[in-house]
Amino acid sequence: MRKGNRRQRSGQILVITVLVVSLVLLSTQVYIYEVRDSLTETQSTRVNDFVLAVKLGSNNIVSGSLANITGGGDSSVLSENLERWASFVDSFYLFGTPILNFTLKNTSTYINGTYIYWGTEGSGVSSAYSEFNFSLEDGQVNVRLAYSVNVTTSIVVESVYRTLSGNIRQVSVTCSLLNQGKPALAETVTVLYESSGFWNRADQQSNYALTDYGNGTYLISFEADIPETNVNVSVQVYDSRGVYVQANATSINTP
Amino acid sequence: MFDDKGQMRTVEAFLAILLMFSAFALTTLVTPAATPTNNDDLATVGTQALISMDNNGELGKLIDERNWTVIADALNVLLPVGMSYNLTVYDENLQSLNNVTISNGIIPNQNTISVQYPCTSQSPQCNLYLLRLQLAAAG
Repeated sequence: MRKGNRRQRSGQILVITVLVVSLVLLSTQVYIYEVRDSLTETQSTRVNDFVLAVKLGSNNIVSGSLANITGGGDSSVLSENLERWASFVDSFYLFGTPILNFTLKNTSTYINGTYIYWGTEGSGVSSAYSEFNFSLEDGQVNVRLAYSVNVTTSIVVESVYRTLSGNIRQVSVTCSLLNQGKPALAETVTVLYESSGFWNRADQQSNYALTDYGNGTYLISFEADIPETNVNVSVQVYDSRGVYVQANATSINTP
Repeated sequence: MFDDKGQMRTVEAFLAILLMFSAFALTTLVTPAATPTNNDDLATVGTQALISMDNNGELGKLIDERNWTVIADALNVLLPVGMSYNLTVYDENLQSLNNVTISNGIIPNQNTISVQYPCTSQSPQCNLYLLRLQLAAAG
């Protein structure tokens, strides 16, 4: 009888042992899977964050270079600054070696990535454009990303005037500022007018007023002694990024 | 009259199921999977705080102005409560720029992670900066 019971129990113990061993194996598998999954996910997040930082930096470099060029700097500044930025990024190590390449836009309007048009017909454009290729390769990470950065500041100027008495003209200038085609706020707006062949600041004249509509549109009005019947005005704007743009326009006479 | 072998097997099967579920529960409770994730979470939170400040070139502008107080204030707001940090700003030649400590307290020696962040300013000089943010969760 005892021998028979032992046989039966040894079979039950064996089943339980097998269950326990398989349970341990299964738990280990689940643990390894979860750890690997979470590591891949967080690694991917960190790489994405790094890529975003590189894109933000590229945008800042193009913007700063355009501010430099429109402020009187050499047009080669854009290329030089991007070279510095690319080698700076390449010196990082984050799950692999990053490589950043750039290509400046060259078209009929863009020369070495910049396009400056400060016209006399009421429009002005300051623009910089570059394309980038970013790659980050290692055993577990493989990122290839192409993106472009376009920094464009443009203004549209319209002006009217009416004669108050003699050569005293009341001039109204409307200026709309755009960043990448969208309304943007200006850091400074300066209006000049031409009188007897000289350019004078409008804000030094009587009844000068500047109205900021808060949507990138500015209305400037002033009164000045202007002998010419063709009243020429010039609007010079620095946007919030420090990019300079200007445009000249001829005022339309209104009764 | 009754054969109790079948009952015993049923009890044994229940015991095996109970053992299996308790093992699963124990595995879930004591799994150390959270440990590496915590460090990576710290790094992600730190990087995203710097990215938030870098939007519109504000971070580069503050560094250009050497406005360490505002940077510290911003990090105090952006980083979760209970997280200690210490930020060091280097220039392009890896020379330390901040002459004051940008920190919210003592960083413990253990469980500290470091995030490196490349930053540029929108100024015409286009200064390049390397930010090293050390982070540690309290407790």
